[in-house]
Amino acid sequence: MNVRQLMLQTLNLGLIITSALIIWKSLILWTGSESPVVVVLSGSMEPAYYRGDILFLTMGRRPVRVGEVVVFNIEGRDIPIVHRVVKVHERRPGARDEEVEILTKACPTPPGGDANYGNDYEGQLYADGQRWLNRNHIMGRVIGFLPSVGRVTIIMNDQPIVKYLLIGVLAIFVLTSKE
Amino acid sequence: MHNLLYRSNALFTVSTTVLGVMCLLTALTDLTHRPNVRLDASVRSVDGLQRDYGDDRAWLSIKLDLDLRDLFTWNTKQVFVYALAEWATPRNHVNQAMVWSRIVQQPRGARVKEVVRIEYPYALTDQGVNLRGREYNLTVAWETTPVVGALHKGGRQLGGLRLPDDYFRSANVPRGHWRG
Amino acid sequence: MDFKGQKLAEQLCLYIILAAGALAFATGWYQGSFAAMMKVYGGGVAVAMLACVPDWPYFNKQPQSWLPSQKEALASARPMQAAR
Repeated sequence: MNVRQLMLQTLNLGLIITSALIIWKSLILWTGSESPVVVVLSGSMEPAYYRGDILFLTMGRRPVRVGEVVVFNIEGRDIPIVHRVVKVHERRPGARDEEVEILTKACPTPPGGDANYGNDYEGQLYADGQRWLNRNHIMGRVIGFLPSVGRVTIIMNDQPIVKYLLIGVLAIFVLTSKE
Repeated sequence: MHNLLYRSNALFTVSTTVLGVMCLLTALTDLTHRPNVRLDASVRSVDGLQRDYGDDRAWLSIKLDLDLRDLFTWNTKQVFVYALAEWATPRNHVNQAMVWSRIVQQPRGARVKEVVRIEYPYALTDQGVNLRGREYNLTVAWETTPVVGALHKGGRQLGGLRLPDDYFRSANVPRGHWRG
Repeated sequence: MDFKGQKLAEQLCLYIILAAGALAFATGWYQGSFAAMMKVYGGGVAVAMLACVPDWPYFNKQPQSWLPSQKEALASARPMQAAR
């Protein structure tokens, strides 16, 4: 394969990658959420959401209310968490501390379930000294659901070698294909 | 050249595309579904109003008569039904607290005809001591988790409720701690 | 697999999977079960895989008639030159 062909293949690859990025960024703008598609990584919302399920999020300007399922970040934790909102205390707009304080909790398990039962503050899920969530911790609320498709990413998270192998194999295929 | 790998790849591509279309169609079937549910609730009694470490807390008994069976379609994985109380105070213009919830996975569990009390882990707590004589709403709501597709929700609000003007407690309500 | 066979394989693959999808969706809809739909579809994909991917005899029914190779052509042309 000569230099020109190699350059063409590289450009093709670049085009694919940038198209994907454009779609992702547009989704972020459209939904107002910094991560509009997430994979469920913990089992705390069972039996509704299992590890590997895909959630579609939106943020928008509507206020966070009790009953919504939200995905949020905690300082010091690298993975986002999916729980349901059980308490909201929203300050009067224009007040000096104009924040929404939200308490969340995992899906209540059926009677006889395990310790994922109290709210997240009691379960010591928040950062040290944090009693409530604020709106800026929240990545989005769940509006759509797709089962199991994300299990691949969980495998890739648990065994990073699979991730590198897959990307390597894909790159080889794209660079050596004649299309 | 047309070899085994090529055919396998083509098969995989076609089958996953068709699978995607099927999931999309399944999700779309939800659009034609107009559920007819019954959400009747009333506050049977206020069992206690205490001050606990600087925050007011109320205990209620709520009479529920719910029929959510019509929410279940072939695309329904579970229904989450809950009750919440909502009130406004000088400090916070919106306060909401979930006071009861249940996960329903089968249509036969979708009829709830009972009296429930606010129990751990739920509590009707204020940020401050503003609950005496406070007006509040009670909302009963549901949210469906589909097998694939969009989540749906609905609810009904019962307004015009008011908490008592003074602290009190009935026998099964724990005494609050006044310091703090 | 000959060329006509390749085309047959591609078409077969497409139609079997489309049919499996339609059948699966209808089954799931009438049974009211998403699981039923997935099972029927899985079976359909397996059938398609079995029918299209291996090199079955019915894909080789119309082999290409290639021209004879260069060596053979030269060997049959040489007697004419010697006769001149």
